[in-house]
Order: sequence, then structure tokens, then C-alpha cells
Amino acid sequence: MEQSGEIYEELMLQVEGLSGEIAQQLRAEVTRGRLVRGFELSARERRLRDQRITDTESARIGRADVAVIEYDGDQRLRLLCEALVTAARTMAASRRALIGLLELTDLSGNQIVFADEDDPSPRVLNIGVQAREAEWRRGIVEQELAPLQQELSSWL
Amino acid sequence: MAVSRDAALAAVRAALDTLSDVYVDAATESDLYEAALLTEAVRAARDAGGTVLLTNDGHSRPRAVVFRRSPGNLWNQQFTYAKVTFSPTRILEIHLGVFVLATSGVPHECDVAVLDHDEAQRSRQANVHPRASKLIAAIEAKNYSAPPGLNIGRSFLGLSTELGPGKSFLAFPSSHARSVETLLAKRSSECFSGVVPASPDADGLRKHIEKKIKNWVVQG
Repeated sequence: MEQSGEIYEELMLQVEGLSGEIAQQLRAEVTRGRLVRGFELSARERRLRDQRITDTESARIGRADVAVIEYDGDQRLRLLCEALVTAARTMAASRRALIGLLELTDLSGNQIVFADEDDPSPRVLNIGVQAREAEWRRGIVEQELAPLQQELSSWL
Repeated sequence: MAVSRDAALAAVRAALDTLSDVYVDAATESDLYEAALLTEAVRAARDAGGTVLLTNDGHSRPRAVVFRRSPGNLWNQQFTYAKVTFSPTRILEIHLGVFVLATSGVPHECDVAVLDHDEAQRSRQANVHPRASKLIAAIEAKNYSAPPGLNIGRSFLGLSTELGPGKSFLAFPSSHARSVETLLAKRSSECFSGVVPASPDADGLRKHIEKKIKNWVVQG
């Protein structure tokens, strides 16, 4: 996709707005790059790297070697889309799981409280309402991003 | 048909707007994820043949389910845990975010700890941390939507070494984590990627814990 690297950078500012943590995870992964075994390198990439090694008379790339490949723009954008879909799925599934816990143990009510010890302001979540909302939003996120995910090249 | 630049921007922006209406904050989403993995452990215990009671006092159901937001001491009865009975002499407990005393003598936080009930009772009676030798299984939960880095694998390796071989499971929602999976591939403590609750990957984690629990039950 044209300008996918720029699109990624532009969107990352908005991911920061949603969750600094997700943005940080994405930036860290993009900085690290993809780890691939020597035999998984494309023929072109391997030839280029072998050429540089041959110039210095070192051993050629073998099966045990591990290389790093930089994520290109499409791959970055796909990484971002996958992270958003994963976040949406996790949000919905976590809430659903907690409803399941209440049902499994025959507990009535839909509230789950998260608190610290002697917490004057615990966070009370109406998990039933939240689960329905998150499930609906998960569907929308998947639907919104599906065409883009199909368009972007896979690195797997 | 190719997706245009504007369409791509619009799609991701729409997804972000949609998420922002329900995403609470990173800490709460992590708390919810950990609690969901406690649910997987509870299901594993039930599948292993146990009878589950969700409780704060060990005897009755709680008026409200209260989970820890940050790691704490097991003996604090303010918080909810699962008590799972297999027989009058074989009972375990499943806690969220409690400290467990490692072999080095240092207490470590377990996001989800499956413990021998007798050891938990000892902890409550003496206000001492439960010992890792009585830990049946533990889950280290990392709410990572993007691939976690090697640092996560390294710190998990340290934790699992401290808690004893084969007891700890690292779980996160991202389905890609090549470096972490490679690091942990030949270790006794395992890495589970793609663990979105109730997904096939979560089933894999649950079955592992079920096996641990079954082994513990028959050893009694």
C-alpha cells in the first residue's frame, strides 16, 4: 500500500491517545524488527547478506543464524491493525470470562470490584453491561479493519 | 479493490474511536485480563473434578467479588479467591495477585496462583507468605496486544526458576512472539501466545493447568 509507513506514523499518535501502553508495545516491536532464521530469509535478502559476508571472507549464513528484518510500512500498519483487533477481542473475552466465573459459581449480580488493600476508591465494574458493550464493539472493530488487513501483505 | 490511503486512515480511526468507548485504562484492562485467566484456572480445576466455591472467608459466597488491583498478601480476607474441593483431604485455592515465597527466600507476585489449601491456611494463620514448594501452578499474565519482547521472556524465566520447575505459564493475547517462544521452547515452564480468554489457545493453557491439578490430586 502506498504511503503505509506515513499512515502508520500518523495513526500511532491516535493509538497513544487510546492507550499509551499499546502504542509502546507497538513501537518496541517495530524498533526490534522481526527475528528470522537464516534459512527463512528470502533468496534476494540472503544473497545480499551473503554477498556482504563474502566480501569480508567470513562464513556464509547458515541454518542456525538469526537475522533481523525491519518491518516495512505495510507490515507496521498490519501490526497496528492486529494489535487493535487483539485488544478488542481481549476486552470482550475478558469481560465475558468474568460473567462465566459468576455463573460457574452461582453468584448473582454482575458487579466485579477491583481494589487495593484498604482502598478508599475501588473500581466497581458492571461486568454484564460492559461485556455486552465490548462484544458489540469487538464486532465493529473487526469489521472496520478486515478490508485493510486483507490488503496488507502478510509477513508470516 | 485496493484500499486507499484515506480509507485506511478512516478505518483505523473508526476502530480506535470504537475501542475508546469501552477501553477503561491500561491498568484496569490488565486487571480484567488477569481475572479472566483466573477464570481459566478455575475452569481447569472444575474440569479436573473439583467443586468450586468463590469466597472471601473460605466458607461462604462473597457479597461482592473483589479482586486485587496490585499484588498483596494472601491472608487479607478482603479479597475473593476460589476454593476447590476434590475430597475432604484434597483441597486447593486459586488466588489473584498474591505473593509466594520462592526457593531463594524472596516473595514474588503470582498473577494467578493455584495453591494447596493447607499451605494457604498456614499463610492465613501465621501471616506468612505461602511457599513455592506448595504451589501447584502459576500464570504470569501479560496483557500484550502486540508481540512482547525478549525482556518479558527473560523476567518470566527468572520468576519460573524461583517458583520451581514446570509450575509457571506465561500467557499473553498477542499471537506473535517469536523471540519469547524461542527462548522458552526447551524450558519446563511454558509460553502460551494468543491467549484471549475462551479461545483455542486459552484451551491449551487450561488443559495444561488441569493436568497439573490432576497430578496433584492423585499424589494426595
